Amino acid sequence: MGAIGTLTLSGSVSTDAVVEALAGYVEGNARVAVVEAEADADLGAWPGERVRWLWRDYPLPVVFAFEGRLEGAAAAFALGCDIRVCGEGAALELDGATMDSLTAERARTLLGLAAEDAIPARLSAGEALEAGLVSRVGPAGSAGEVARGAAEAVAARGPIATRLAKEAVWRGLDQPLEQALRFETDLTLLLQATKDRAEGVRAFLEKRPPDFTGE
Amino acid sequence: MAEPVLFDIDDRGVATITLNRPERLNAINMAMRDLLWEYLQACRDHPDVRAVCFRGEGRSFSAGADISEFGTAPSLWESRRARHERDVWGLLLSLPVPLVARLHGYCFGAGLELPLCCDVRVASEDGRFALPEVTLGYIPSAGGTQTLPRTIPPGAAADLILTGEPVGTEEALRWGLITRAVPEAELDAAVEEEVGRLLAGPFEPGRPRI
Repeated sequence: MGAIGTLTLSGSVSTDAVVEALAGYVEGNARVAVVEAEADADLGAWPGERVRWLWRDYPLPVVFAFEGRLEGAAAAFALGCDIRVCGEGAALELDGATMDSLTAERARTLLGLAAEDAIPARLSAGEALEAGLVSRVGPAGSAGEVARGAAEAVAARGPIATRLAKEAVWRGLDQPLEQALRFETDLTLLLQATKDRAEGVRAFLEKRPPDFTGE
Repeated sequence: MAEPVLFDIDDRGVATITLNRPERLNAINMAMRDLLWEYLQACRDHPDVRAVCFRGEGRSFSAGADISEFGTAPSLWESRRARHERDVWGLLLSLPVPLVARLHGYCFGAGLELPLCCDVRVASEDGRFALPEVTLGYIPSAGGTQTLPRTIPPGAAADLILTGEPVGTEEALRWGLITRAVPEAELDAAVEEEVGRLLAGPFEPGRPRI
C-alpha cells in the first residue's frame, strides 16, 4: 500500500465496509486517506458517532472529494472528514431537520454557526467554498484530482506531525483557548523528540527534500 | 548591527513594532522573541499605548521562525518552562488595545501566527500566507493550530495546517485570514486608515481572546 489510501464510494456501501477500509489504511502505514464519492454512492446511514469518530479518533487526515449533489449519509460522512474538495457544479445538501445532534454540531462547527442558527439546506460549490466548508473547488469532474493533489501534499509531510496537527485542530477547538494553547505546546514538545522533526530541520538547512520515516 | 526588532510610540499612543532582519526575511529568532516579549510588556504596562501596529522591514513581513536555531534548546522540559514563562503569543492575545498587522510578501509560520494574534490584518496584494510547519515534520507552535481555526472556517484551517501549502490574498480575504487587501503602493495609507478608525471608535476585538 502506498502513502495515500484511496476509497471510492460507489453504489451501496455499508458503514462497516468503510470503517474497515479506513482502518486498513492505518495498518498499512498510509499517511492520508482520500475518499471519493461517486454520484450513485449510497452509504445507507452514517450516524453522528461515526462522524465524530472520523475527526476525533481516526488518526489519519482524510480528504473527501465529491461531484454533483451530495446529501444524506454521504454528506454526513463528508462533514466528519478533515478536508473537503469538489468540482464546480457540485452542491451539498444538509437536512438540518433529520440530522442527528452530533452531525448537526459538526456542521455548525465547520460553518461557524451558533447552536441556535439554522443549518443552510443547500450550498452550491461556490457557497461551500465561501463558507470554508470545502477548501478547494476544481473544474467539474476534477474533484478526485484536486483531492489527490491535497493528499499528496499531506503525504509528503512528516506523518507524526500531520496526525498531531489533525488532533491539535479538532480537539483543540473544543477547549478554552488558554488550555488549547498549552495543548499545542505539549504536542509541539512531543514532536521535538521525534526523528522526523530532526530530519525536517536538517533537510531544510541542507536544501533537500526530507525523508520522513514516521519515527 | 541594528536591533532585529524596533519599537516606537508616536504622540497618538500608537506603538509600532518592526521586525527588522530583512536580510533573513525577518525570520524570528530567539533574540527577536526576547525583544518582542520586552516590547509587548511595555505595550501592556505603558498607559499611553492605545494601539499596536506590527510591520516587517524589507521584502516580506516574515518568513517564519529561524530554523537554524531549532534543536538548540537544552531540554524539552526547559523548552516547556521557557514557553510558559515567556508566552509572547498569550500576551499578545490578552493585550487590551487593538493590534494591527501590516503584511506583505511572505507571511509564513510564525510570520502568520503573529498576525493571527492581531485584530486587523491589512495585506498588500503580493501577500502569501502559509503554516508550512508540517513540511519540516512539526506543527505550528506559536498558537497557529488554535488561532487559525478560530479565525477562518476550521475546515479551511485544517487544509492549510495539514497540507502546509500557501494561499494568496484572494483565498485569504475569502476566509478572513486577512481583513483587507490593497495594492502595495497603498499599504501604508490603508494601515494608517485602519489605525485611525480604531483610535476613533469603539474597539471590537477581531482576534480570539484569552
